[in-house]
Amino acid sequence: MGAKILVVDDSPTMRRIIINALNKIGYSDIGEASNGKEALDTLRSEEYKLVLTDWNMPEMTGEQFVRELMQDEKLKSIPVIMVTTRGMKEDVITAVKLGVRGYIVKPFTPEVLKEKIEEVLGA
Amino acid sequence: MSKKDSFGEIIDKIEEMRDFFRIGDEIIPFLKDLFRFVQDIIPLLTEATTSISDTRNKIPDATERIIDVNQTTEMATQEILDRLEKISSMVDSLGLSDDPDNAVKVEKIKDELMNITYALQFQDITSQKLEHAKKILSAIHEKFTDLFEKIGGVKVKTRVGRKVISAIRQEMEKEELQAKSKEFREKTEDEVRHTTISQEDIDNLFKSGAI
Repeated sequence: MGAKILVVDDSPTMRRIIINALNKIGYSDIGEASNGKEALDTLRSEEYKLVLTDWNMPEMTGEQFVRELMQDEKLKSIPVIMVTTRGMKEDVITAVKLGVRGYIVKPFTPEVLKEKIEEVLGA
Repeated sequence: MSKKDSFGEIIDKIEEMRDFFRIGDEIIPFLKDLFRFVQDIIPLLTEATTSISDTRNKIPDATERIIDVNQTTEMATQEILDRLEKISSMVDSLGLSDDPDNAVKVEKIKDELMNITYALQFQDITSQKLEHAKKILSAIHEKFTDLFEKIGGVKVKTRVGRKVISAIRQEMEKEELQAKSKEFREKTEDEVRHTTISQEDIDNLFKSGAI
């Protein structure tokens, strides 16, 4: 599995845990960003196949990030999976309306992560 | 105007004055009662104001503590992750998995190590909840500050109002209230932060069964 994945989370611990889980399920080409703004810059300079993003982040939230991503003609085709503590129905609806392709509530297991990634990437 | 008419007019005026005093007789006890109520309520309101003010002053401190907790748990979690990764690579370097009998055991150990890693997600989850609590505290602090500014800016235009405000100020200065305020500060003072205690002292406390 060679898909390059960008992990966006303000918590270094969470980024590390997600990267560990991705390694375990077979993904090793992984990039990191600590907020939406940084993620957009990274996506504009490197090619990624998938984005895993948190919702609550400083500078630019996951919601604002996805909104901007979807408005960018070059980036809007990159699938996004939300990995967040926000588990309210309204949040999920908002994310879906924004164009998010998957939604994982923390704490997650590698199995759930694998399942969602495969669903989104169609592996 | 005849004498009879002017006499009747005087009688009417007297009746009007009698009515006025009759209303006054009814209103005066009510006003006295109202004034007594205001006098009774002033110390209570003053105490409430002092308590709210004390609480408001503690909020920034509580917010700082939340930030500290988040930073400390973040550092501790990173440390645990470092050690877990070290253990995992040590298990690999032992070459135990080369032996088919041990291979399954090694995989089980590594799975357990990964499970510990995933369990550390609690740090991010609790940190976000604390972040939320911090936002609520900041909002309450803002509301209180706003309220106190408004109270401070009240312009008293009536004589009675001026007397009430003056009475509130006098109450604020009363020794009893100052003592209560001091007691509140002492009760909420952080013993841990101001008293240095060694690990040995802590261990002894545990041994003594005091905690």
